[in-house]
Amino acid sequence: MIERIALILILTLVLLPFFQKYLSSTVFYYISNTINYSLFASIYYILADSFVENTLLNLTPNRIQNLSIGFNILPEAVDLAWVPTIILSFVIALGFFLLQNGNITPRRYDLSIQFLAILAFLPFVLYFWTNILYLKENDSSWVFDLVFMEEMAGFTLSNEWPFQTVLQDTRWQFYRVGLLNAIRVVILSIIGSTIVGVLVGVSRLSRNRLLSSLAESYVEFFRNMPLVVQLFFLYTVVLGANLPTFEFIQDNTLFGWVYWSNRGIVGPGATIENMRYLLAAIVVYLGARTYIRLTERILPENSDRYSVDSIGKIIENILGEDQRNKSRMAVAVDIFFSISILIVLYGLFNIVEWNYKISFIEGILENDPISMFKLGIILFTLSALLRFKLDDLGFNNFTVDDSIEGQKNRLYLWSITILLMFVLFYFAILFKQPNLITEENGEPLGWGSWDWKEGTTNSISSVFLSLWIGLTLYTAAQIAEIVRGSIQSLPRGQVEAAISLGLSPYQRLNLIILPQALRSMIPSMTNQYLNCWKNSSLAFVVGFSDFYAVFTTIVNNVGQAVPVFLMILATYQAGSLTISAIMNYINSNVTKVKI
Amino acid sequence: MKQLYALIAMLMMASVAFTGCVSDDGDTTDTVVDDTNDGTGDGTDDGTGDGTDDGTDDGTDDGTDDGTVTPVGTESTSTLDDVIAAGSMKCGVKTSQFGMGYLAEDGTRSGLDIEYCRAIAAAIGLDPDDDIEYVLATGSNRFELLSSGDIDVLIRTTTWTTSRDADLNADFAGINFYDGQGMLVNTDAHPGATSIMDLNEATVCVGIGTTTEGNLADYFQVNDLAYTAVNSADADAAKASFTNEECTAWTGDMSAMVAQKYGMEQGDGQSFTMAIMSELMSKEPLGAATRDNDADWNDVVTWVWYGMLTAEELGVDSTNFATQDLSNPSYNRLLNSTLGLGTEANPLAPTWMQSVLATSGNYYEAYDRSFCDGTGQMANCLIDRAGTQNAPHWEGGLQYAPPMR
Repeated sequence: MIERIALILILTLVLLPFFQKYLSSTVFYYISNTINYSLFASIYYILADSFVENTLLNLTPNRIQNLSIGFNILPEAVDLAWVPTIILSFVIALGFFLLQNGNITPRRYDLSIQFLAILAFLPFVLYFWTNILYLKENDSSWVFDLVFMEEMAGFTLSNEWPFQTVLQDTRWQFYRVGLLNAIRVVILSIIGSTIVGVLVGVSRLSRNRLLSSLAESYVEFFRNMPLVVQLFFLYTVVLGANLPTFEFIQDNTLFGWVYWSNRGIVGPGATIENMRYLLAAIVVYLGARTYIRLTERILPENSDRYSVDSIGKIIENILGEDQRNKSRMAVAVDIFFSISILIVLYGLFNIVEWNYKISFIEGILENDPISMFKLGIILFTLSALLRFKLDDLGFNNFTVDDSIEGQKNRLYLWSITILLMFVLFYFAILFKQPNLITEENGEPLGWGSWDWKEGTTNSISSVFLSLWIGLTLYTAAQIAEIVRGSIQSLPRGQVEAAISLGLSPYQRLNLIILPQALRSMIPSMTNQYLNCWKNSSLAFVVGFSDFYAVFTTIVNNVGQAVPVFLMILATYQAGSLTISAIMNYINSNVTKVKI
Repeated sequence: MKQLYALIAMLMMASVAFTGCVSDDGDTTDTVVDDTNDGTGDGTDDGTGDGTDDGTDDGTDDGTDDGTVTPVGTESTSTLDDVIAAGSMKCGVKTSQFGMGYLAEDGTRSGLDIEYCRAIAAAIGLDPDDDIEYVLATGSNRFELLSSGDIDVLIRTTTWTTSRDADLNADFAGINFYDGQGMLVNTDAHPGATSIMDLNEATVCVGIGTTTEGNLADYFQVNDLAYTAVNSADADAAKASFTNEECTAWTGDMSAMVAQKYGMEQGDGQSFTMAIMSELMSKEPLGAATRDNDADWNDVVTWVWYGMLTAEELGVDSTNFATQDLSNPSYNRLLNSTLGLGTEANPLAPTWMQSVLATSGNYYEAYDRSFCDGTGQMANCLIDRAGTQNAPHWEGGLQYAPPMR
């Protein structure tokens, strides 16, 4: 019925202009207006009707237990759902009509529009809300609790690092391993793709035809093929079928220290023999670094750099006018920064397994590595922020002593530092040559049972390699185009000016072109980094256990699709927001200087 | 007016989004309306079980289709009614496993799962050649397909387990194959291996998210063996890893492993020898699954299978069912009675078993066509039936049908 009315209205609306010459303009205006608004009302009715009906149905007694609205809707009323719908459609259409044709102040106009829009969306939102309530009570997969995450997971993961899971671990622990896997591969891919992308992007603009066409074909090849196909191809054909099998691993080696096969790359095992020496080496490095910053720092002048924000003002107020105070503050922050790095590394080196039981405060008191690691990260973030602030305030201005004397001094300092570090590292870390066990009790084993001796290896699996390479090459192709576009958008005069200054091509690129191109590059780069993070969900194609693969397995096992997908959503959101935050910070730094 | 049309567009998007969000097993809301409709003879006209008022049909079709096809809940319509109304049945199957669910290069499907699916279609009066829509179900999406209503019945070598039955939105029906988890081994890498105990430090390919993955971990831990798992997204990925010799063993359902070994040995360029280990690492009763709380439909799916077993027991097959002596009451019950199957609206035809037999035959014939050469002699079988759990119960197997009366 209502559809027919709507059809007739549409038809009249189409035919109406043909009759325009027979009608006076006022009549025509009124007729077309009426038709327009009735058409709106009927379309609205068609859309909203079933939603109103289902909402009413959800509100009938015994449908949703936890919902009391103070009155009951009789089941019979559901059949009369068309009445409120028609009233609603009429009110909304009339409201819009009056708004369009009345004299009304802009403020009231805005308010009324908002009110009408809320009214129009009401049935849909109500339906959504009541139906979720209904499903939560009636369908186990809509229950939002995470009890199942505490249960034993009962499957296995690949590529666990740095924490290993055992069969008895809970699903939370599996999730953590999956998350670390994803973060690891994404960070490495972002670094790799930035390097490759910038190189290829710059190469595309090269005058060397071979180089530029090579770069172009690379870009076209990789960005025109779906990533899934690339990953699968890379994994099964490029790495899987081309690399030698494990059977011949003894022949494929670099001096007995590095081996490769289609299972991945195996490198020497490294164990920390003496933690104190290792930390001492790091202390030596951080000390040298702080010392150099101390000697090269120049006193901040009372220049035109004023702090604009409150934190900067507070710092300046506390320190007063004395410039030496500012310098001391900067040194103190440097030392604080170094210590925080030391704590992070101390925690990291000592982690053998993740201790879930201990609380953060307790952990610090008991010197638990995980808690120390977390503490270090917090201190590191704080001191880094403080250091950025001091950079802003101009406390960290340096001058480099270019005299022969100064260069000599620096050379001596660094030589001694590096030598000392080498000696300390030598005593701290023990490298072990990979040791393949090919026989047992004097009998040779089949190559399928060969194994590396525990602790003599560090390996990168082919699964990880193919995901990393695949993501890197794919993202790099996109980044190359961004780099090219940004460089090409620079005014030609910049390059000409650089040439006339006598800069070499490398200096031109490094000092003139890239710093300016970065301003337009970074927002689009952010997108590509986000894509890289999201594309990491394709890890399951190659069997890499990222958290998405872990979660799909969990869904398959327990069927709690809704909470699990909410967790997937939250994790991807958190990662994306982190990447955006970091990139926005970099962006604000780059765009700070006005050209 | 611009604002008006913008609002309409937004409303349309909102309605689609909102129905999409809660649709997956949401709209039991339709049931009450359905009842009233049936009373007035209005019924489900477009066959998707979408029986809301006239007025809403066109307007919300796009949005509510998913939801209305899959009513879940105690008082919902049966999938059986939906399937009959739609005139087609959606079957979630495998395409890569010879013997169970296999899609040949010429587009024909074969296997025990396919036979089962065709038998169900025949039993409810559909044309098994035209009215079945096969949907490829993967190991990781099959239960989502089922609960979202993208398939009506899942017959894809699915193991019946407690947690699947209890937690997932799935009820299991007939067990069409008693399988176990087997291990296919590259015997070049593990010379002389006949048992899993010989596979210490092996690198094993295993599908992500399957029960096999958990069984493998359990089995190796219990027997104090070390191994490295290579997780594969699907059988093709696992096969690629296995043929590349990245992994030296491959575990999965025994039926699948036998089929894969057969396939690889037929193909050329196989550079290594293979063997199947003697142990069965687990019990894998493979069955059909329907959505939870869909009893009438589940009964039909179950009893089609038992019907095929009973037919074998009574010696009725696709060639002789028409000539049976119907004065024998058990033959008569099998071939000429509904036995109460179906729903009130759509009871099965009394001759439903005759249609099943005409389509898939009894279990013997279906097995013969799926795993053997199909000549009716159980010859040249990929997996022999005699002496396995799939033998009929009077020969010591597990295939046993409850009495049909």
